Amino acid sequence: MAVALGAQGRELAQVAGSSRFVVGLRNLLRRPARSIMTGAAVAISMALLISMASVSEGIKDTARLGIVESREDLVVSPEQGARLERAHAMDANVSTWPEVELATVAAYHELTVETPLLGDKGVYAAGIVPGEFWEMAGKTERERYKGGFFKVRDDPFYGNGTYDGTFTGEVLVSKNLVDKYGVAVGGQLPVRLVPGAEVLSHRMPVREGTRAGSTVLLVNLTVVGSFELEYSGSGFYKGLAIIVMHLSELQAVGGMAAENGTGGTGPVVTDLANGLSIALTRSAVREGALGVVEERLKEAYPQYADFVYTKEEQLQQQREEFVVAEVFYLAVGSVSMLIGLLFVATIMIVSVMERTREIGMMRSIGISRRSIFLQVFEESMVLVLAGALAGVLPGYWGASWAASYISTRIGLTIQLGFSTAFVAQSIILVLAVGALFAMYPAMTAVRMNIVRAMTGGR
Amino acid sequence: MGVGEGEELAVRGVALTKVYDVGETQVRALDSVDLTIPRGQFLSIMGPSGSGKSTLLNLIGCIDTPTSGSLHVLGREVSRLPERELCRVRLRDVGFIFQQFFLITTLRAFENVELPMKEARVPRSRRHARVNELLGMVGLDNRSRHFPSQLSGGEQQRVAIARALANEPRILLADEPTGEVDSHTSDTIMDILEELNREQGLTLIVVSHDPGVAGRARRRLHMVDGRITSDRHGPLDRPHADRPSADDGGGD
Repeated sequence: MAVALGAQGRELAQVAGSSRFVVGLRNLLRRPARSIMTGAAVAISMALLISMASVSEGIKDTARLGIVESREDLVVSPEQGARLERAHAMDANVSTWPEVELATVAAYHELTVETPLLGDKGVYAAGIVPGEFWEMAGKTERERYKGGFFKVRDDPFYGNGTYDGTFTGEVLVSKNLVDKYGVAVGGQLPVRLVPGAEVLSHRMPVREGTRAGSTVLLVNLTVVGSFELEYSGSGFYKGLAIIVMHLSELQAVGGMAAENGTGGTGPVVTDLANGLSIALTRSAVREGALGVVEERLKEAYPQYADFVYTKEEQLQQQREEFVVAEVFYLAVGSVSMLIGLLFVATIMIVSVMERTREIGMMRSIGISRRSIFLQVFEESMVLVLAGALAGVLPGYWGASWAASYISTRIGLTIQLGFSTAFVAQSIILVLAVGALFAMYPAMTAVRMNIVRAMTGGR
Repeated sequence: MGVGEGEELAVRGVALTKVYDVGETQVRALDSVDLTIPRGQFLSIMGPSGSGKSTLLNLIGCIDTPTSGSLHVLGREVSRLPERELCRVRLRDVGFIFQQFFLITTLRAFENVELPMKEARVPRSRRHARVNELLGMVGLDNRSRHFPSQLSGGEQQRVAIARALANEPRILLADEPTGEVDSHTSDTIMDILEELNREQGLTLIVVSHDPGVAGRARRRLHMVDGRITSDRHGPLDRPHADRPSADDGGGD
C-alpha cells in the first residue's frame, strides 16, 4: 500500500512540473535570438559581478596577507603627517626589552629622481633596515624582491649613532621605473635632496646640478634590484613609482635627519621615521605578554600612546579602509547585475504580452493562475540560470584580466578571491535577485482578464 | 418548466446581465436573460455580432462573471464564486472549443490534449491512455506528435475538441467551432460533437453564425441586443410542438 502510494505520489509530483519546464524551454526557443541575447545580458552582468567581487576580495585578501604573514605583533604608527621622533633611539630601547625579539623602524618620503628616458619623476621612497625588514616580513612580502635585494643588510650610514657612517647608496626600484623610465638595474639613479637635507650634504656623495635655472643637490644611488610589486600595502595610486632605500640614507636625503648644530657633531636631535614594528619572542606571545609590552610602550612613549596597534587592530583598521573600495566594487557589480536582470524582466514582459491570447486560452480551459505564474516564472529563471552559468567563465577571465591590469598599473599583485564557494554564492545571489525580478512578468500574466486576453487585450 | 429542477439542469440563469465599461460608456452585452438548459441537451445560439451570444457562453463557461443575476452550472451557483473555484469548474466541469482553436503552438497535439489533465493532476498512465483514446476518437491517433503548425485547421480543431474533453466535462461549449474550416471539415467536426452529445449525454452548447451548424441542434436560441428573441426546440424543419418559440409569441 505504502509502495503504491509512493509511486502515485511521485507520479503526481512530476505531473505539473515537467510540462511547465518543457513549455518554458520551447517558448524560449520560439525566439532563439532574443533568448540568447537576454541570456547573454545576464551572463555579462554575472561576469561583471564576479569580476568586481573577486577583485575586491582579492585586493582585501592580498593586503590582509601582508599583515597576517608579517611577524609584527605590535606597530607604532603615527597618523599621516606625524612622525616618530628620535626613531633610532626608540628602536634601540625597545629592542632591549626581554619580550622583544626584533624591532625595526621604517620611514617614507616623497622624492624626485632623474630617469634616463623621461627625466624627473616623483617617487614614493621607503626607508628600511634591510636585514631587520627581511626578518620581519612574511613569505609573500619577501617574494616581491625576487629581482634583487640590498647587498648591505644593516644600515651603516647610522652605524655609530650619528649620520656619519658609510653611505651605501643602494636602492631598489619598482619595475615600472625600469620598463617605462629606462632605469637600469646595476646603473645609477640620481635622487634630488629635498629642502632641509643640505645639513647632512657633507656626509653624502652629493653633486650639484641645474634644474630650471636653479642649482639642486643630487646624490647618485646604485640600483641593486627591482621589484614587480608595491612595497606598502596601501597608499598607492595609479602610475606610482616606488624606490626602497636604507633607512638612514632616506632620512638624510629626505631631510628627516640632522644633528645638533647641523655641523655633524653632538647628539642626534632630528631622527624622524614613520613606523616602528615589533616582533615578540614566541615564548612572550605564548605567555600573553602582548598586552604588557603594549602598555609599556604607551608608558614609555605617551606621545604615541594612541598609535600603538596590535595585529588584530591593524587588520580591523585595514578592513575599515577597504570598506569604501569594497562598496564601490560591489556597487558596480550589483548595478550591472540589476541591469541584466531588469533586461530579463523586460523581455519576459514582452513575451507575456505576445502570448496574451495563449495565456487567456490557458486560463479559459482551467489552467490555474498558480500554474501560469510558475510557467512564466520558470521561463525567466531558466534565462537567469543559463545566463548566470554562462557568465562564470567570462567572470573569471575578467577578474584575471582586471587583476593583471591593476598589477601592471599600480604594482599590486592580487590573489583573486575566486573559488567554487564564491561562484556558488554569486549564482545563488543572481538567482535570488532574479527571482524577485521574475515575479513581475509572472504577475502580469496572471492578472490578465481572461475574456480581454482572448481577444488580444489584457 | 418540466426539467427545471435542481441537478437535472446543466445551466440555469436568472436575470443574467452583463455590462461592460467601454471608455466612458457602458455596453449592456446581456440584458436580464433567463435561461435553463437541461443536462444532455444540444443547444445552439445564433444572432448577429454583438448580440451577446459569446458573452452568454463565457458566463456559462465561467471565464466571466455576470454583473447581476444568478447563474447555476450543474446545480452550483457560480456567479459569485472566487476565481480559484471558477478555475476548478473550467478545468473539470466545462470544456471549451474556440473558433481559432487556441492550441499552444509549442506543444505537440498529444501534449495539448494532456495539458488540462496535468493541471488536474491525473496520474501519467491514466493520462496517456486518455489522450490516446481521445485522439483516436477524433481520428488523429497518427498525428499525436505533430505541432499545431503541422496540422490542418480541421485537425487542429479536432485536437481542441479532444483537449476540451480531457477531464470528462459534462458541458461542452463551442464558440464558432467551424468558423475557420471548410464545409466538409465543418461537417466532420459537427458529427463528432453531435455524437458526443448523443452517445455520451454531453450537454453541448454551440454558438454559430452558420444556420447549417446551428440547425443540427435540438434547441436553437436566437439573440439580439443581449436578449433571447427566439427559443426553438426540435429539428429545424419541425419545431417542437409543445414548446412555442419566442417568435411564435412564447419562449423564454
